[in-house]
Amino acid sequence: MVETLIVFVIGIVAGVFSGVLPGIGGLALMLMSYPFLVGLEPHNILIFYITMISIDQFFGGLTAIIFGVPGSSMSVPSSYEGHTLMKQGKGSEAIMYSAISSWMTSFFGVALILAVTPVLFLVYKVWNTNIQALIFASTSIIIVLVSRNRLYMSILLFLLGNLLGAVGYSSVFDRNFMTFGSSMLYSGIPVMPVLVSLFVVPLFLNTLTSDKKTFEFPGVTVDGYLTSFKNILVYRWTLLRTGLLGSIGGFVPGMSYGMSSILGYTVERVLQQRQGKYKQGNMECLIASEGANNAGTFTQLVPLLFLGIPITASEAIIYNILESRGYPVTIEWFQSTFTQVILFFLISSSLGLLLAGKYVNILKVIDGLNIRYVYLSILILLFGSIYWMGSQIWAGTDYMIITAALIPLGILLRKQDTMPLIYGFILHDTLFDVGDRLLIMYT
Amino acid sequence: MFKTIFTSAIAGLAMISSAYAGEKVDVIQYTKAGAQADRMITYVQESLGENFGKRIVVDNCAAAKKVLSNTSNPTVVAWMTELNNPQADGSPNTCALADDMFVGYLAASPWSICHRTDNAAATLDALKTGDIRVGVWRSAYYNKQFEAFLKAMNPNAKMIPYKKGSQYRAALAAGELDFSISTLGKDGETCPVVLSTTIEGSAQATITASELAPGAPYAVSGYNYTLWAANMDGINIDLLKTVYASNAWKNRKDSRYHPFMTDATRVEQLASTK
Repeated sequence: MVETLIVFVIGIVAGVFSGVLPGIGGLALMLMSYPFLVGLEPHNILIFYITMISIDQFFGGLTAIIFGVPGSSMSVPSSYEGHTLMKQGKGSEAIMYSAISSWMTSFFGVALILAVTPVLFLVYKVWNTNIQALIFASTSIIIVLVSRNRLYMSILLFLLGNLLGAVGYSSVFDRNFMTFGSSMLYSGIPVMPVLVSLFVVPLFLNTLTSDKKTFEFPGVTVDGYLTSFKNILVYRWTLLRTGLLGSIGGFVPGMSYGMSSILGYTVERVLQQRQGKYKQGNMECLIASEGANNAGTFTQLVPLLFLGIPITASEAIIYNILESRGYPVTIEWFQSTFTQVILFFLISSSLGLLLAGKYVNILKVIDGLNIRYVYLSILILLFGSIYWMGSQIWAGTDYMIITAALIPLGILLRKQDTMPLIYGFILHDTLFDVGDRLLIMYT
Repeated sequence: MFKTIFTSAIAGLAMISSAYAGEKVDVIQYTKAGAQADRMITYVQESLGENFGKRIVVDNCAAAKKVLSNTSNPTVVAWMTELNNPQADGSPNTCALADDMFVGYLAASPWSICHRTDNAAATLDALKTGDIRVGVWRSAYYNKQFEAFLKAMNPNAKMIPYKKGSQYRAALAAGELDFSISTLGKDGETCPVVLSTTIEGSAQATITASELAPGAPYAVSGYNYTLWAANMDGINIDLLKTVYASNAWKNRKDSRYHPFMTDATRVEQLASTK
């Protein structure tokens, strides 16, 4: 019990770091914690993981909303909608609503799984390539259609994203693609340079050319939270849709909670546009993106707990540790941990809500600062972070060169919505895999 | 309990801080966590004990090659041997490593044909004559071999490639596939056919692929890993012996993987990788 409590506290600290620092995702922290994890009781490894990712979701959204910096690809919508709300002076509102909706959808995900547990295996009976192709194709089409660009531009950007994603040596084709003989490109284009150069830079440039001169962030208050709690029912249908879509996205192999966010967001954006209510900086879309993440955070554990199949890299690490220590990695064992996992997930979600509120007020120091200096500081930090990430694998200079090479493209695209490009880049691997399989199956 | 936490934390800190000491051995992970290659390097990592430095995680083999070529620390990697072969277009493989880094074969396992245990329709007859779908790991190198073998065994068999093992296991459970080819059957799966000269060592196998499909190409084939290392001068560790003697290796779930070509010299082993 004592070990469990200590692990829980360490999981919270790890989750805060993972959420606040861009590019340091849950996977990186799992790897850094490896020496610590191998010494733990097996159920505590699961508790560490669920606590860390649950807390991470609350803090990752804050960085995206306040600074416009998506710590990972799944925070791109929060950055796009939330940071726009921030610039409109609605930052506090955006933070409180997204935190509360995240908390509610966390509980929704648990409730949904508990409700469907007896028939859960049926879901996997229908999770075939056809359904996957349908979901991924629809999501891609929606991403292109809902973009504020002209249609042809969105299609071009989506294709460009796919092209950038395909650069490098491919063991699938056993050949190099668009590497131009440069060893720098053999390992492909890393995610962070793409996110920073082609999403953050255009976003910042757009703001800098607007009338906005200072950063406004009055922070959040307990009263504000209580009022938001009372008013959250206004968004009840969004929450319901998001909870459902996020949960589904989380527990299907090949998707996981990163896809939950994309799914929740794109569906909400279509609905908002059809109702003529969409304008960049849409609260429902922000709630959808943030809420879907959290619902999926829990449900992504279901394949591991019920089928013994790790569907994310972090889960695979857990699986590996258990296996290498000779523990019986069976479905029965995973199921026996289910109650504890639920309990710690719900506690950490509630703590995440409270801690995020506390943390966010520290950032009130930026209130009233010149927006140029704030953005410049963030960019310097991001470039430093990219260099550091690259240098971990002896590729710091390569990462910087790739970032620098992509920045002119980001500047060129500053008037465009680059979200289709980012999603093309992220989804290209899956789209190819599923598309090609579908072709093989039906030809 | 406190002792466990304390020991783990100290061990963790020691491992992290010692990573730069230049005496410890780093390991490289270049595939998704949980993939077979990752499990292999995990066995190596665990077997190194206090000699383990740090785990370097990269996206793919090209990045791993870069690390191995640039690091000044002793570093080891469990390499998917086919990465040493020429590429599909005949050019040298982008990921091929320098010969002087070659340590030896780490392990090899024959491929097996598996199905869900609860799939009563997945019989040997169905495998030979049925209209079946067989899931395989997506690999340019191995897919050609699987395709040729399946075509010879059953012209109605269709090979369906998946990027990850977890995907085709889920597809087996979903009924999208009738069979899969892998080195290890997971919970709920049975592997009655082994692509080896004998069923010995394959607990579930009842028949070899050569017996099932006489004359089929690649009926005896498997997957193997080689060990490569850089900057090991002055490190007094026999990597292969250390791995095989470790508890991590003895407890491995991938029990189908065994030491390979142990009677051959290093030069002979290296030649066979090309």
